[in-house]
Amino acid sequence: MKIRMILLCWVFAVALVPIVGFGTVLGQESFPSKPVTIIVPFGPGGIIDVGTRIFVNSLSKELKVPVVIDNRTGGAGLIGTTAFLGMKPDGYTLLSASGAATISTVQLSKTPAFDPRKDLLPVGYLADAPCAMSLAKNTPFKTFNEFLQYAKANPGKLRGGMSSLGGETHIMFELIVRGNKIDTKMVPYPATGGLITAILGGHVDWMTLSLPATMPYEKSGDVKIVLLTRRSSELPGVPSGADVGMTDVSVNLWMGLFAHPKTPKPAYDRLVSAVAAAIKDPEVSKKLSESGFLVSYKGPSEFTKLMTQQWDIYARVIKEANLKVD
Amino acid sequence: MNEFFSGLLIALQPNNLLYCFIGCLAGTLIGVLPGIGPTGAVALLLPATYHLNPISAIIMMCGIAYGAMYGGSTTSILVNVPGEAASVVTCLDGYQMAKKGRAGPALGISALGSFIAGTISVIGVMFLAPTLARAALTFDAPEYFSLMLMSLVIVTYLVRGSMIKALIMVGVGLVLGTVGMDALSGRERFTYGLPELRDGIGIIPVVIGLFGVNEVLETLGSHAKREIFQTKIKGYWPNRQDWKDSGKPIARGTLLGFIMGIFPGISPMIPTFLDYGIEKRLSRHPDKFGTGVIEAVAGPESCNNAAAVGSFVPLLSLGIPSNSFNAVLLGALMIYGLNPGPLLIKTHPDLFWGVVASMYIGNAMLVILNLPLIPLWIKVLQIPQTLLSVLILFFCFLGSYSINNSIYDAVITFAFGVFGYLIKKYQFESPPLILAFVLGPLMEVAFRQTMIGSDGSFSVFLTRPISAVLILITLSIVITAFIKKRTFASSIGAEE
Repeated sequence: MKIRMILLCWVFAVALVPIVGFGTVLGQESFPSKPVTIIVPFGPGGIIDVGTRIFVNSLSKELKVPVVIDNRTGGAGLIGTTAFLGMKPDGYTLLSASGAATISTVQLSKTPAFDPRKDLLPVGYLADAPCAMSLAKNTPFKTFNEFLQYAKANPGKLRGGMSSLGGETHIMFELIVRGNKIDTKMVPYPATGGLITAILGGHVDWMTLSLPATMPYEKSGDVKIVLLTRRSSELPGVPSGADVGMTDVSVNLWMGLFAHPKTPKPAYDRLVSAVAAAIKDPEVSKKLSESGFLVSYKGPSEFTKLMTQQWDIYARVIKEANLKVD
Repeated sequence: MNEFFSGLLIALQPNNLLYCFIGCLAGTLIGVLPGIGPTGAVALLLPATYHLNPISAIIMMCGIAYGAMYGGSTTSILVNVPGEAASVVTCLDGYQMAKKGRAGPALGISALGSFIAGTISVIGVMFLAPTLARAALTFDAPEYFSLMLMSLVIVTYLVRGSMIKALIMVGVGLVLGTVGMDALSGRERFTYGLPELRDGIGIIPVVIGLFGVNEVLETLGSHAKREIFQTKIKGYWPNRQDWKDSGKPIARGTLLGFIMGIFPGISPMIPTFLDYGIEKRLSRHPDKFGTGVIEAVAGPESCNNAAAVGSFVPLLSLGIPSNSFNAVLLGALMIYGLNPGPLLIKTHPDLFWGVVASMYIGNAMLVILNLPLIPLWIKVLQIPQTLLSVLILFFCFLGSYSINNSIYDAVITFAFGVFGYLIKKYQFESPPLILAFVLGPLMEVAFRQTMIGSDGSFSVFLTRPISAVLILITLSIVITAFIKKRTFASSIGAEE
């Protein structure tokens, strides 16, 4: 009995060594030595989630560890981002987010939970998709200029639909309406599916939505895209905001990776270089472009510059349209 | 028709059959365990499917969806724990049947009714998908509002007791539904600064608490011994009388579920509740509803399945998801490069027909899987009461937590369990609360969208034909209820 006890103690001790030693030994190995988690603050199946999933295969190959996605939905991106900020800043947790989740949710609130300029460290801007303004099938106008003429001649008659309060497409909507001083009804459709149903059924005359989400309906002839936030090779005839004199209508739906500001430098550098290499994978480019994204990598400094630029645009629109909540 | 047969050939390929089976099996398990539903499961499985042929992957995911539905009914009937919001209605009478020793027939009719409904609905999808999808586009905010108002009014038929108490529950449900971030203005309501409440109170933790936990508390609180389960199992299959009683409810449920399911924005829960109300209204013995009648299980279960199949109509024909599960499927289609949208059927007919054919096969597989399991499930009821209660509580809390890895959801389950126990003591019933809780936010959004679009004019509800019809039906329901001057608890012998 006593021998059995001693033997058991030894077995336990031996078994514990790898478990205890695992952590300490690993801590000294090079980054990354265990799986990396990317928090996506949106639901599975959403556009940012889809884009991130396409990307992680390639990133995983670069980092040589599995990269896992953790969906944390809620609060228009706030729950996921706040969760990310609470994680250990060791470089093993990243955030994949868009402008809406990082800039506008913060600006919409009078008591912001964090400041993306200080609390988020950009790792890489991966890809973006333009926002598209489209017209319903049976409208008497077919181009952006015709739309403006009709709207100015018939104030209050047109019905415009939008989704995602405070998001990229909402900003585009507000900029179009305010920039051109047209009087049109703005009907919010919290669910994108509802907005698409509305424009297909002719219940709204025009809408703003991301290009990937609108493209299938342009192809089937159910809507006509007349304005984009940047030019797209898929729609060569459609002008961008800059082309028609609205330079602010340039806020695209982008997808970027962030790390915690306190991430140790060697880990951070490894991440930046891995992301830059992974995004160059032609398979990733192909799949992302099939989903409507254009790979347009920007390194940390360019990314920061873009975010500052967009921060100002969001701030201005939110102030003018009085969108601040609580 | 040729396309269907080519789809059938695809679906009958051995590897697709295997994936369908895996999906159905996994789905049943997911459905039986409360909490994590098909949406979460499919999201977890997505990365594993990249190496598969897209059609096989979608077949497997759809299998998970049907499996979850069948599994959800099982726990609703056996232990009063709804696997998903739509299974709540099955709990009402299904569990009562189980208490009377008739769990077998309840499970049987639920499985077979679902199979019949699923099969008929798939035929509907096959022949009518694009047409129906386009027809559903005529609905906009005013029509949705009127439809939901009608559903909310019919809910008053759900109760066995006082109408006033039912309306109080509706009020509580409406208030609870407002908690969270308002969808149209972004303002937070009743969140008390808690980020977890920003998206509102989750419906699944609420129903798990109101039904599952509440039932356990009640059983533990009562002194009656549950020998009923151990001794009086009255047969495993539905008998001939059951079939006679269930025939029309299954037909009605299928029709109602499928027709309402094709509208994006109507979750399967709504037609299921509606069907219960309609069955009760049309029944010769409405006072028995709530004590364990088979029609109240057959109808809603068929309706549930038909609505779920119907929700594939806008998804496959137009690329519009009606619920979170369909949204994940949509995302998966995008990842696989099969651009969903109006052109999906034209550009990828193999996908459409393969999936449609696999719906038949999946439904058939599930019936074959579930029917022989019924005697096994009934054995679960023979587990000693104390142990069963502990197990139920454990799975309820674990399930709630697992939805979002959030302890708050488990707290909500507990809170609503206690709440449900207290209100039952005073003869309040929870179905009206649940329906109002789900419909309230949707109705509010639809109403405000209508007001924005019509510049504040109420007449739009009556000037638009479909909405006018629905409003008139609503009014006639309310008026007839007043004229008859009765609550359904005392309607013995009264015929229309």
